[in-house]
Amino acid sequence: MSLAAAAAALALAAAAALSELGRVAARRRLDHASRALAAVAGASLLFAATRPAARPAAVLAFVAAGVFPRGLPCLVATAAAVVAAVRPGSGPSTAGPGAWILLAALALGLAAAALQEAAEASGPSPRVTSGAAAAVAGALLVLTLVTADGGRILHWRYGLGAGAGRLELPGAALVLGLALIVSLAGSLSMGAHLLAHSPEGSRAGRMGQSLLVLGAGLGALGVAVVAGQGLGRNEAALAAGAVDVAAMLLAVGLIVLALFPRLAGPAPPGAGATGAGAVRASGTTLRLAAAAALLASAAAGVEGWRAEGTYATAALAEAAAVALLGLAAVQPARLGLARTALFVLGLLGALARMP
Amino acid sequence: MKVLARRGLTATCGVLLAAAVHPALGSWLHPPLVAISALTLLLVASLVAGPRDPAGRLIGVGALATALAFGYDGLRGHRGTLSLEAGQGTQSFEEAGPDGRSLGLRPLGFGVVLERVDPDGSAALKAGDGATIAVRPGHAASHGGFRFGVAAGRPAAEPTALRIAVAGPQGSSVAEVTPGATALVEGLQISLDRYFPDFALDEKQQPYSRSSEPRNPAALLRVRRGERSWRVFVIRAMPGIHRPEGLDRVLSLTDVVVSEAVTLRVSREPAAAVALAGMTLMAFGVAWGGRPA
Repeated sequence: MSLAAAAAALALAAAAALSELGRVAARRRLDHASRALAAVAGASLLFAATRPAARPAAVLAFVAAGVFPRGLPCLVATAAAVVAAVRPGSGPSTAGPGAWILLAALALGLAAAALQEAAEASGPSPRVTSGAAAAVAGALLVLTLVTADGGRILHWRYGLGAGAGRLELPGAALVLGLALIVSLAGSLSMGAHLLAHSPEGSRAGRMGQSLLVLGAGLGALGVAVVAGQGLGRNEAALAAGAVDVAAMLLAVGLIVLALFPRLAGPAPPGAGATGAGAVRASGTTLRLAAAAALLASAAAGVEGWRAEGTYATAALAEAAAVALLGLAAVQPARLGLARTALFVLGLLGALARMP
Repeated sequence: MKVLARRGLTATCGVLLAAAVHPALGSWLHPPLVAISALTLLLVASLVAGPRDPAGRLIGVGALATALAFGYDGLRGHRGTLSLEAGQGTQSFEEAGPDGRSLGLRPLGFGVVLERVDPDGSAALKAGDGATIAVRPGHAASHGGFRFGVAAGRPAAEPTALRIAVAGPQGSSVAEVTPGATALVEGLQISLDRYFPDFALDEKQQPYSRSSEPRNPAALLRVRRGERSWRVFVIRAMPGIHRPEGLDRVLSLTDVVVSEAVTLRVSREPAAAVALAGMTLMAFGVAWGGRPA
């Protein structure tokens, strides 16, 4: 395990929490501290640059430090740093990820910031937006748990790696299975509360919130058990399941991030992003993200042409698909938030599939 | 024209085209080429007919250039593969269509001979005009309007053949066992069950390979004689270690034979630079459109 990348992951998680605290409490000092932590994490990830996953993680950390302080870019960078921490390095002779992956990481950081800004600015009230985001985040955790390790969690089994080096984790399977059930119930309950336009404090809303808090807690515990047992018993298996672990951590973090405004109580005046200014800022960041995604697809073409003799490679197809999602996201039409979320998911998928 | 200029149409076409070209979704959806072409046309038309501001025009021109370049290379360009053994020559390559279907042999316009393949996967080809085309993994080379890149060497984890010494009362003989085939020696039918290039045992004493390099090669062989059958484990470091009951021969792995073959990717894409310029124009257009007023 890379200690530099692990420390960066911790710093980025702290930066995410600080940026949300700063936003909810409208305290700029917390924002500055969050940016500083993200920058330090980015620098720390540069020390682990022999690991291919560390370079896009460093880009994400620097974006989190550079753009307006938001929890989501920090959280995405945390997940990338976790992958960098547990995936082994590949010797100094290896070229590592191409420039298109780094540009895609830049696009992801910007798009994540734009998504959070747009989500906060678009809802009728912070509590409703927070509830909807929590329900979606809970559904994402359920989806992540169902797809992780080939869906074995549905049979109360979970393990890391494959073949002879596979590590079975029955204890983690129990915790993650419970997290799945609780999060599903929480999402459904919160969704019912929002769809029924029930008043704040309704039983379904409170139950949904409590279940999602419990689901996030169980998910975090499950991730900790998986990471602890993987590190102690078989680091190679943990490296093989790194993306699954990072995805679960990201989904848990999303629930926490979404519930932050509900749990923090009423925000002071001037806190949060509202109004036309926030929408414009989000639009500008999103356009920059889409431009970075287009440049990433151009870079993928050049790299394919230089390395394989043709630009018609799988990397270009993936980069072009994500760039098209970016182009769709910047169009001033209905369902803008959903298209931006799709763009972010596409970029996350591109980075997760990085060899 | 008004319908084409609607931003909702652009967004919908963008999302649908993204799903169609994405390698993970595309292999699942299997979109026909005509559907991808129609979506591309619609998207480019809506971007060209879109906003009249300079940024919008830049995006439209970039999209048009990219689509035209992709279309031209799809119709007039050539892509395919060339598989050669060391010392072997050819004047053509196996062309593949945009959907990966084989289109038959396409002349290169010159002859090439594979001079050598290095252990790192690099290959040196001698062209008919005397030029040397040196390609290595991650670095393609150009010659005669074509690009040559290493598509796939034979993976180190997969041997061409295993040399197995079979010792018996009448002396010993050597058999070459290739994956997927059965070798016949001294009345024994020998086939390969599993191969471990770098043999090791895990904590549960299960065999696995530490790497794909043949550092400590070992194999599990299936040996048959008449109705009887045995599974024999052979490892180069310890000849004759496994002697199953009832088998009066001693089998040892003496060598792993790796072929000097290489598969090259051959392509001619005359509009590649236009596609690159188009994508870059689009990127600048999108970024420019987001500048503060």
